[in-house]
Amino acid sequence: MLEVQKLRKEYAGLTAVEGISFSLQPGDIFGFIGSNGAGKTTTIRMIATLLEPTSGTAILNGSDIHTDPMQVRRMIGYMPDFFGLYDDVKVWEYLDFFAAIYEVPFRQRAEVIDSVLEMTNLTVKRNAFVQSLSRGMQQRLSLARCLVHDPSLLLLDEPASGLDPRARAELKELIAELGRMGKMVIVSSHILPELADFCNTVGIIEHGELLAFGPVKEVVRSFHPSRILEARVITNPLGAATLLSAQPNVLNAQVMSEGEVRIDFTGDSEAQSDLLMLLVHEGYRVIGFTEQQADLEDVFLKITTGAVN
Amino acid sequence: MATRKGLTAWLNVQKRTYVGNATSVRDYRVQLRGSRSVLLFGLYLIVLIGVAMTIYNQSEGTAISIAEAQQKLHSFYETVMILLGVVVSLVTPALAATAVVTERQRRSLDLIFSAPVTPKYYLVGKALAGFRYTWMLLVLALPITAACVVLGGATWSDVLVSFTLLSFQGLVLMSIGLLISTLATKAVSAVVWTYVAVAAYLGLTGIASYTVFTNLLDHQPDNQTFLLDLSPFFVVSGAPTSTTIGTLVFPNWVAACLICLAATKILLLGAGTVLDPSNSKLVRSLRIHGLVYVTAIAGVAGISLARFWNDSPIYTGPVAVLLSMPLVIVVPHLTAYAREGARRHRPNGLCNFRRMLDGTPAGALPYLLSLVVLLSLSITAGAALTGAHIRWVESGSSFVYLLAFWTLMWSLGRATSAYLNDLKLARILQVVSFLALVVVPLPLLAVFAQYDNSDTGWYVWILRPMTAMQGENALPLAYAFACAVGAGLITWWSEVRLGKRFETLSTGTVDRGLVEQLPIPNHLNGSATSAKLEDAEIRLSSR
Repeated sequence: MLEVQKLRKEYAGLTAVEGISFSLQPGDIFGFIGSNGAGKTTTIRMIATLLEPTSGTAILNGSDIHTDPMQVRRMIGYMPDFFGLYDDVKVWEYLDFFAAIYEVPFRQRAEVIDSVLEMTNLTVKRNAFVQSLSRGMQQRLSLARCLVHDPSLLLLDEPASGLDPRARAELKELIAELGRMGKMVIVSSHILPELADFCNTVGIIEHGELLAFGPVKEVVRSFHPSRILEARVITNPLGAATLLSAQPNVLNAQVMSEGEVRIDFTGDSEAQSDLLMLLVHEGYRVIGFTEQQADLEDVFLKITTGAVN
Repeated sequence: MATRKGLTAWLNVQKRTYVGNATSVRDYRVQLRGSRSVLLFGLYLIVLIGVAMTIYNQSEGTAISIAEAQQKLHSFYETVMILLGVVVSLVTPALAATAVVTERQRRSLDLIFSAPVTPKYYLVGKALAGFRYTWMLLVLALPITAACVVLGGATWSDVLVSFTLLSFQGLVLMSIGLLISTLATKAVSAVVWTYVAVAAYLGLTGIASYTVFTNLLDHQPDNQTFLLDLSPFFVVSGAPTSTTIGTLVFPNWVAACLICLAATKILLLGAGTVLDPSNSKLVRSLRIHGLVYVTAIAGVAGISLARFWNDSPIYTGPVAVLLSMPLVIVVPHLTAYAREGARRHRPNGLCNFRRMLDGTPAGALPYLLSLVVLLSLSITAGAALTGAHIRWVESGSSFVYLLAFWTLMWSLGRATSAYLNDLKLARILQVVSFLALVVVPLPLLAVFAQYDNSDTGWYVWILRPMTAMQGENALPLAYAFACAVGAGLITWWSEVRLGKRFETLSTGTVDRGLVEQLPIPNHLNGSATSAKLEDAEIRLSSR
């Protein structure tokens, strides 16, 4: 279990992270969303014990980043937003080096290397030089490096940046698999629809402050209590809008364009069905009646201003 | 049982660090990969054999006596060893200078330090990899030196001692390179600065060794013959020398190896604290080493002083002032802390003796003064131990002046930190202010003295007490008073400014952890935290 308590980081004259608190359970895949400079990387680096917090702490499975950083490091796999790969080193040598510094016993290393290579689909590249790998493969190798010591928490900072759609899909599947294996994963990303696909928890950070945190659906619901419906009628959209505005559960109805009426609606599915029936009953010729799905992107755009540190 | 477990764990850590160090294995693997290293080693051997052949041909004669031939062979051996000294001095720093900085540029340092890796493990690995390479170069030269032994120019023990000395000197050069590599941000600047530092080291040890060497040639007794063994270019001359302490005869090469190990340790500790500045264990160790080394060096200086002045009464003050001047290199690191979040540079008080070794701003003054006290006492003790007659009153007043002078330097560090956000700038400003006080007036005063034909002008120089004559006891005390007043005023100004700046920096909700680090006046007792908390709440609510 990871517990982040009032984590704060101040640099000369600016507060990069302002007392962030959240907790994760095994199997949680936490999507960390924020603009560039919002404080995602700083938070991740503090949890990775690479940056000393000004105040606050993080506790991973009972080990505090302040008092027991070495134990915390044994339990985390950190993948930054850059590769940091060595030249003149073969794939297996690269993994062997990290297995050694993560204190994996010498006799187990070959087996561990084979298994992480298989997991990341890099077995055929075992003896290739690191610099000869494609960007997607290098990213997978970085992930393999994070897995050599079987960590309970993975910190992935922008793992999908610069990858082509196929490599991105593969990486997404791999992260989802890690979640199923019971690992906690923190993924920071700009690509919001992707995060919504495989994250079960999200946090939105801006200007160093955690504006929202929780399961994806709950976060979306809490920032979008009403639903947006779109009705398309052939004639008299203004009359339809006036009629709908007078109905209970309708907060607002306004004509948009080409006979389209946008309805801000708080009712349930039955009430939604009643609304359609009413329109038809009143003689409006309805050619479309759909619900707009609110997603993470809507929430993100709604609650953030784009301010950066 | 617990002790055995502890010992086993310790042994495992040592084995992991020194025997199976992953960093060293990886670096060495890369160094020896491909045909590049084979070509380099081949070329090195060809050059070495070529040089050896040339020297041998020059020293070859047809009708010379056995003694003459042996003399020539010894010169040949000496030249080969100097050549190896040059190889060690050139290759080792180059290997070390790029070791850490390239990792920083490649951004792989973060990956390493997100694993359970200590700076010690990492730096030892880097040093081992570089050192092993240097050692291979030495081993490759062994057949040529062996020829000297076979032909009668040297003995096996000479070769063994010389190689041991070169190896240990290589360690020091390696550590200098690693320290600069951890400080640098670019590989080119790391290489340049490493060679500058190595040149300074070789220059100093070379001059010292040369002085001793010429003394030896003149058959003058010199107590510091071990200095010969500290220069890679004097290993042949230094190897057979020894120092006599009482009835014990101590081989100098052993002393030199121990000194090299000690220097390596403190340099690597310094590099470790650069890599992990929040590692209080490392900072503590570095500071303790600093205290011990300053005491040892000052003690040796004290003994030399007594020998130099023979039977005349000794005034240790000027030597203490002079010897304390290199402290200017460390003082900015001790006293300037600025407000950079990446390090523990938040002000935690003015002066706290319990913080002396932990690297926080409150411990700077106690640590600095401890260095000065140990330095002064050790010089005096060294001189007194050899039976010298000490001028206690003059030495005492000079000691008071020395304390006040370095307190003034400390206050300048506080002031620059209160004025600037950037740590590097604060440190530079402190060095500049030191130079402005100590060095810049020198040429002006020299010119003035020439014109004035008296030394009146020198009275405005801050280091004037160093040149005080016998009976001028009040002079150092007057300067000490002036320095103390200056330090007090500067400190007061900085604390006022620091308080104001903290107000501008604390935003948002009151955080107890943050408030703990507010600057507090020394007179506040245990209730300070709640007082500070209230104070901070008032400040925030008023905004």
